Amino acid sequence: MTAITLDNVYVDFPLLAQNRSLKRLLSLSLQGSRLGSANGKSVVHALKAVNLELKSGDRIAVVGPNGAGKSTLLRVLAGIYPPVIGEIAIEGQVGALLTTGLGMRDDISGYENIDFCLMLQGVPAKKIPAKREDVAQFTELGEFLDINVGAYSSGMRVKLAFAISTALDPDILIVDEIFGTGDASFVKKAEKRMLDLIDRADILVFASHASSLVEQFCEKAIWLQDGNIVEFGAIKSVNAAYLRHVAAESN
Amino acid sequence: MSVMAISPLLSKTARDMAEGVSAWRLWSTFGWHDLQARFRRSWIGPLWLMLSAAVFMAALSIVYATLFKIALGAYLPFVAVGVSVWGFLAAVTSESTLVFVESESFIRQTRINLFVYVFRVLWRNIIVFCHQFVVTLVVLILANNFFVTMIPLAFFGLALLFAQALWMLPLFGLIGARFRDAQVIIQNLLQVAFFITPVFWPAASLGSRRWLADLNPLNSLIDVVREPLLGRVPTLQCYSIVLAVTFLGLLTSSFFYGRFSKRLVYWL
Repeated sequence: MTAITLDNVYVDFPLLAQNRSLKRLLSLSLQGSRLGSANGKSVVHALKAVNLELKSGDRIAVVGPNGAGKSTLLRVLAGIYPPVIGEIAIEGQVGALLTTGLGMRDDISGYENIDFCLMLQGVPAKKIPAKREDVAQFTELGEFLDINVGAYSSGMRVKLAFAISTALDPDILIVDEIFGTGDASFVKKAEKRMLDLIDRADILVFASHASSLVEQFCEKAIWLQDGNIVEFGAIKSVNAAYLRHVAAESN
Repeated sequence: MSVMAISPLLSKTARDMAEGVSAWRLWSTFGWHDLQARFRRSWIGPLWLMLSAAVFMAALSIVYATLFKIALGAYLPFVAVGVSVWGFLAAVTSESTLVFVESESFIRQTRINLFVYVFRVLWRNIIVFCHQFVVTLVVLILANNFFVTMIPLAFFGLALLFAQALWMLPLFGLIGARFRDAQVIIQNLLQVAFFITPVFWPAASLGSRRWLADLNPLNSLIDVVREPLLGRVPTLQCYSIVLAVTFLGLLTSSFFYGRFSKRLVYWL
């Protein structure tokens, strides 16, 4: 049974290297609303009192303006940020696509990079040969995979990084932004591969600004604002409410 | 704090450590790639490690054998062991504050057991040590100073040496992530330690102030490896000091790790 439960979760970021003037600057721009103190230390409240229950089959979009806490929420759901207050229970294997090319190294070959990155994402050793084959085929890089990634063009790198991170089959898939891809023919292939990956996952959590895109494969949405969940429900109504809010703000 | 409050912290550390060990494929590859990156495009690659160790040992031996008026043949094995053991200790200590800082991008993007990064640093340093230790062994054999019967004790000494890294890396790693100037402090202390520890000079030359060396735990740590390799059994006091340091180190480190590992990602 795949599930994630957040119970009254708070996440604070300590302001460790803050001198006084910078602190004042920040509190001016944020009107002090999200700066606070815990045990006398300055912190930013990134998530406040978040309650959430994600079940098998959920396809969830996370919307909200920059700095609303979207990335923080994704990292909490991925088990990367342990809550400061509150509880989180994650059942199932998490795959988090937060950046592309994590763990790619210039000084080893394409194949070595594939093996290493797959290992890094927790792919068991006996599954690696098959995955390596899959990645190699998708990238169409052929013999380039035998040479060091340092010699690759940026397009080749993107292809390889994308192919590796989409080779996983996690129970819970967490995606931040849409992935950058290569040339036109590659974009089509990449989209299909991404959709396949989404299909394989039990739970999808997807953060994006482009609302038309998320409506394609999400049924529910979370609207985050200043670290709070404003609304959680069917994607159409949440998106509409969020867009109304954005329009009202800009007027 | 009562024992009741401490034991869950210690068991969390033990759990993480055991889980980290089982991910050996990951950290051994990690550490190996680190070295590959360090020696990429260098012509003789890891042979540099041996070469630099050999040059250092030879230079120290020739100068200080003359200064201390000791026969080179007797002094060289002493320095050869001291330098390679110190090399390991110094490298581990100076890299320790960066254990988690250098792995920041991984820690912030994936959920991986933190001990993977600890073992990554430990593993690459053991590999470096083994290269340099080859030079030491060659010196010992050439100087006709190799004692087969002492091999088990020497291995025990090496195990104790590596055990120090096991507590230093997570403890200093956490401190270094929280307080970035820890790196500078450790580097400074390390430099002082090199000169006050009998690495390249015999403790006996302190004369009536020999206790300065005897009380120095770094000296005991070197001796548990060096004495067996030079054909002597380390003293009981020497083992007692090393075992006490290991125990206290592991205890402190486990406590800190259990207490603060959850906060680490917010410090990066």
